[in-house]
Amino acid sequence: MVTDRAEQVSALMDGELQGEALQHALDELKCDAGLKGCWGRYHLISDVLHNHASVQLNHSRNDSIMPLSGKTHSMRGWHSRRIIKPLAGFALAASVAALAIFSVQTFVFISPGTDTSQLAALSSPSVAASPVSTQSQGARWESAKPAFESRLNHYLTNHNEYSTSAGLQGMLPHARIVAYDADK
Amino acid sequence: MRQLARICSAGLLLLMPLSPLWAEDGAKEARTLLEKMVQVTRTLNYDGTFIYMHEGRLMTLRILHGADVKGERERLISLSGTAREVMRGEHGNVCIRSDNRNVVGNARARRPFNGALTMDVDRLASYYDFTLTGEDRIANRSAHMVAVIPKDQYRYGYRLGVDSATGLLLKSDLVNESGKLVEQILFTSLGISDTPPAELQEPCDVEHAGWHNDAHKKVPHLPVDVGWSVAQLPEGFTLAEHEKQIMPGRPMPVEHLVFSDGLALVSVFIEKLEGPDRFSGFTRRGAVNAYGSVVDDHQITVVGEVPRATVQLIGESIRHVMPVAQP
Repeated sequence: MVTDRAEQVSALMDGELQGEALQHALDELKCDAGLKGCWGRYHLISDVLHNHASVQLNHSRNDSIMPLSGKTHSMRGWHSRRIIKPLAGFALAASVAALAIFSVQTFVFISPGTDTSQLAALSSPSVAASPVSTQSQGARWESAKPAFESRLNHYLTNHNEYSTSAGLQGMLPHARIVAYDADK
Repeated sequence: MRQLARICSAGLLLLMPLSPLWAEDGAKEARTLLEKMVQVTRTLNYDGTFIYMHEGRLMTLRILHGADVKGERERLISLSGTAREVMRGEHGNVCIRSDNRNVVGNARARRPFNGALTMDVDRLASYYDFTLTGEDRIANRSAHMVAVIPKDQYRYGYRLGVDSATGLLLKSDLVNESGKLVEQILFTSLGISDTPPAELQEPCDVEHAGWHNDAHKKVPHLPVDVGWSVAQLPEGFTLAEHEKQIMPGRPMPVEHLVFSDGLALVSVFIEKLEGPDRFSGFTRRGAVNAYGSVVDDHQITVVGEVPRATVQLIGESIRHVMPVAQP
């Protein structure tokens, strides 16, 4: 039984929650800003431990990790299980080399016009290192007049009908419709 | 420190000759994975829960998908926030249900999109790079991570997690032209079955309170005005669809042009101006950008999951070069 809320987030990250416990954790995560922050920090730590540290990792993010140092015990040891690995000389050399070669090859693939900031973000699986923008008005149209907002939603619904059959994500573009914030 | 440098150098020298082959194989494997992913997204039976994150908001959704001799059926249910549900039936008709009156739209039966079911990766390779970036564990399943990197500023990039066992999409990060994550979908649980989930049995065109479904209505085939054209499109974008339709609450039929590069989609909506409502400039909602302008007494609105520069380029180059066709 997971009792500590931070520990619950950790268990969620590890995919250890099932059924009602999973739903409960997701509901709490949605409502609690602190837990959302915890979720982001855990992902950041996870990415660092997995050598996915993004080039976008900045001082403010590093600072945000510092107060966490006293709390990471609640992460059920998953980080320590994964970071402490024997590093034999050749293995270290090979992994470093592979990382370097991958980086080089990535740039070989890219055409001259490619935006490197986008490339850096795409090359890193980190969630926390490239945060979702929080500057707009959420799930509603930004700065649109209410009268036109409704029309834009109809347009978007029609547009999504094509997105679902043409893109990579199947029906998932409809998530945008379902996520529409009707409470504002 | 010197010893570490020597070790690193030795590793680099050992692996350097193999690097071009690895890169080529990785790109090829990434493209194969994506082709398979598009296919299994439509053919597998599954029931999963995923997190949808955008604009700093988080919500949980459940998706059910089934495919059998009757066709393909899907159901998307919000598990948090406002109760909503989207269902797509075997004929492509879409129903949207909400627990309040703030339904954002409805939908009609629509013939399959021209590019549906297959993805021309060779064509896409002209505008995107595909790279395998490693392995990860998502929803307690092993996943291949694939980066889809646009070659110019007119498209978004993707960071995808593809289930190693089935090829199903488990994670999708949409990354904008500035490298910011603008939208994320992440599965937390997934069940695969041989038959469609039982909860997909409810027909999409059910006529009970709360369902909004126009699939049963006769939709007249309206002649399109071929005089509308876009002078400047980003490289690779072509006209994929052009139709004229009657939209709910709109007094005049709306021209709908769909442009695609094979992955990204942009819609252009054109309707005759009626009343004072008009929209000029930009707006956005999450990953979706929109640009409005008025041309020849018509409201032009460009909408798509593309960067702002793309909707602007298209929106500013729309022209009407022939008289409006008379019905």
